[in-house]
Amino acid sequence: MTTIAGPQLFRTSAHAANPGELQQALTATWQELGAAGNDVARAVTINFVAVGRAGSDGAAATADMQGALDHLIRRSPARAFLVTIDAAAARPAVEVRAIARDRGSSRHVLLESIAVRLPPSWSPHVPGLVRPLLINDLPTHVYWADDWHDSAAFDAMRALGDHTVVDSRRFTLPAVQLPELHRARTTGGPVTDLDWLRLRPWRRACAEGFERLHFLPGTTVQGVIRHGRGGTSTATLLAHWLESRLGAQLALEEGETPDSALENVTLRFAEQELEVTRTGSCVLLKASTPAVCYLPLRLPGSRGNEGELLAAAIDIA
Amino acid sequence: MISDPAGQSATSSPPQASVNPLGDELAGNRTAQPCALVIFGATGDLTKRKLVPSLMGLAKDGLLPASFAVVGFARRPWSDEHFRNEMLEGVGSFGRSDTRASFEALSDSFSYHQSDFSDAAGYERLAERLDEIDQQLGTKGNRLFYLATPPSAYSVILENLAKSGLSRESEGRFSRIIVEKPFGRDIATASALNEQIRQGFDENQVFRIDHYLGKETVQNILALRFSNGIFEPLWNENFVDHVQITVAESIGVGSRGGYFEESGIIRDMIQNHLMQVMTLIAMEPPSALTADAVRDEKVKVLRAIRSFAPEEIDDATVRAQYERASFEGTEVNGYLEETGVAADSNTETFAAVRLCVENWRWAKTPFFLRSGKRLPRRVTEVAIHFKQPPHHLFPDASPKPNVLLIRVQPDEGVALRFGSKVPGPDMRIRDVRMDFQYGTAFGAETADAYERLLLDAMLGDGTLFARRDEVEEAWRIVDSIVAGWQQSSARPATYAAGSWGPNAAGRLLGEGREWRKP
Ligand SMILES: NC(=O)c1ccc[n+]([C@@H]2O[C@H](COP(=O)([O-])OP(=O)(O)OC[C@H]3O[C@@H](n4cnc5c(N)ncnc54)[C@H](OP(=O)(O)O)[C@@H]3O)[C@@H](O)[C@H]2O)c1
Repeated sequence: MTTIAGPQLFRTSAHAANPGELQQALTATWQELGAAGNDVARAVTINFVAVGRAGSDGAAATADMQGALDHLIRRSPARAFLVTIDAAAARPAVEVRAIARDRGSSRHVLLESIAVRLPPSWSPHVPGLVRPLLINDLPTHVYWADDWHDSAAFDAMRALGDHTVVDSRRFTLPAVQLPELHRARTTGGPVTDLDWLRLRPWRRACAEGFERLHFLPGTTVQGVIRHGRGGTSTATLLAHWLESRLGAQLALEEGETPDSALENVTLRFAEQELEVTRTGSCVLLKASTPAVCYLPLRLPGSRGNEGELLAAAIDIA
Repeated sequence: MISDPAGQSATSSPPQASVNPLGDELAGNRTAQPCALVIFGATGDLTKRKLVPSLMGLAKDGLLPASFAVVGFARRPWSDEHFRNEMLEGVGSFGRSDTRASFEALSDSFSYHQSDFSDAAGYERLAERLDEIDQQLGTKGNRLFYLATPPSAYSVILENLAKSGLSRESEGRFSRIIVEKPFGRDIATASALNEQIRQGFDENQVFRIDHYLGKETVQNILALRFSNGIFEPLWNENFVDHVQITVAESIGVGSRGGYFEESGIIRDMIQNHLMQVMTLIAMEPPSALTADAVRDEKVKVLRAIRSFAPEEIDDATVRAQYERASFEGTEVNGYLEETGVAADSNTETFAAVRLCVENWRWAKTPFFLRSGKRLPRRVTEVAIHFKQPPHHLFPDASPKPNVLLIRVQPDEGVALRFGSKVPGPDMRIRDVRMDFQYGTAFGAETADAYERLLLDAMLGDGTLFARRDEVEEAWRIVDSIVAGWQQSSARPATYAAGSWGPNAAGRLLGEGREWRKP
């Protein structure tokens, strides 16, 4: 069924296909776009490939990607492949759909989405499925929307694109996996970590704090990072950074909140203190020296939604 | 660093310099340094509709410095609370989506300073207030002054800023001033204003706003020309027949009749917006994308345009006034019937001028600038009309010349018109359009021009602001047109409200050319 979403957005119906008939499914989608006699033109500026795994509940890691894509295409219209490896899938299944914006009689295609669900045995075939359909001349961004379990699989996907995005918040063994990611970053094309972008307000607040304090090189800094129950990876990432930059000794503490966000960072040295705390949609910075206690500063927190972060990661690349 | 913690300076050796070990998080991107923004005219329309909503757009994108304060300066007896509420209302009504939350987070940094612009004591109190803010919020003595006031107030504010020392920069602390349009009403008033600014501020401290330069699509002219290899070889008199720049408004003068009588469209639009856009189209490639390299090239374009002699004016310009007509379903007033307009006014609401840039690149390519009120729709565009091919291979076809169209507003984008074969057995050619839509490719919600300009002023980047010599050169040209009109006995032509201007505008173009109807 064809539905209209928003004042000018046109969404096609989903066209199901076998992996071997992807091109035909795309053609059918274009026929639907032009059925009313509109001039149809592709406005996409990137190829986007997301790879994830279905959870034990059967929900695809890439299912929430549809929402993220809606955000992403506001900034970077895309031909997008959403690949889900699903242990429960008996055979591969593909669904193609498109979103276009109407302007007068012209229809500009913002998204061609190709959702592919594959049994694990098909994993090695993913690059071969995707590669022929990447649009020439456009940059390809690969999003590894998964835990880091297999460096070879990661490298195979990474080879498809010009830029790879990961979200280390999904890592279950951050102490081991973050160094792996660091190594990957030093060997191939650019890799952007969404969780690093999510930490931007925290990094900025810490840096702002040091603007107010008197730090001498070599000073020992001690600190605590308190995080929500799902936030070990995020806290570890920030701790690695602070340790490398300050030579700090940091303890991680699990707090009360169930989510994965950070709750509070405290750094102390030479009778000075810097504290960054999450408050609603902001982070609050307090800084004090023995002589001055500054007025607390509020900085905007991370907008944090996956689509906006992806759009930012692609912009930066 | 602001303070020295106890004990650090107890030894006799010089104190070791403190460093920010995470300082690169604050540098290297487009986040401005800590500063306090003082808005003169903070109770006015511009502050509420544009400035504060734009600041909140910057905050939303994480581009405002964390240590940032706004001090509103005006006459009304408002409290801090009242000021904040008014600004919040402005952000809610005129800001980008989700910017209310940014204001709520930052509202404590907004305060109101009541004073008359002419009261010297008001500036002393302002200086004290700013020092306090430095202590409390870490704004580090950096100040940005914004003249959001009627131009008649500029002089007294500038004088007091200079006298109070607020305009002075000291080591590591900046003091900058943003001046709104109109910047003078002729070359004499503009240079007098420039002179007065110079009493307190060096040129690199001055940011003269022309909000057109803050528009993404205007900046895209630079990107289009200088980041692509295909256009520049064609960008000269050998290939370009002529250039049309149009800024059309559908509204009339409304309640601004009194103000408009003093300026006319040539001062209100052509001297600034259209000439700025024209310089970007005509300039030579700058050696670098730095403020002075870009502005050096822009000013060379203006210098290459001769002032008009009075006898050239009738041939090179057209001026007109709109007349009563039915427009968009209602009968609208003619200009002479508008409130505040003299019954025998000669002020033009439409002007078209032919400018010749007398240099190697453009000697034979005229630039046509056109602007008017009560034209059919609000649109700003630049159309580069290319020459016909030298040999007509398709005698039955009469394709129009290629046009590269840069649409500044609305439907921002770039389009190219070219001839294409119509499918079929015979060789028929039809004009088709290749169209790039900015909003589609890069997202619908682009930042307001003021966001970019406020940020650049905080960063001290003057590329998108008019330099003193640019402003004065543009006035030199416009003054010669105005003088010609004043000496002419002819009254302005007329055009029906809702039309594309007077018929007389057509003859300006010369044979074989016609005005676009965008
Ligand atoms: N409005 C726009 O959208 C717009 C767009 C482009 C350019 N501009 C330019 O921006 C400037 C400001 O425009 P606006 O529309 O905001 O003007 P406005 O609404 O008339 O505001 C004038 C402001 O100046 C203050 N003021 C005037 N005389 C004063 C005095 N002697 N002492 C202290 N404060 C005084 C007023 O304060 P009190 O009310 O407290 O007396 C008010 O805050 C003008 O140069 C205009 O051309 C405006």
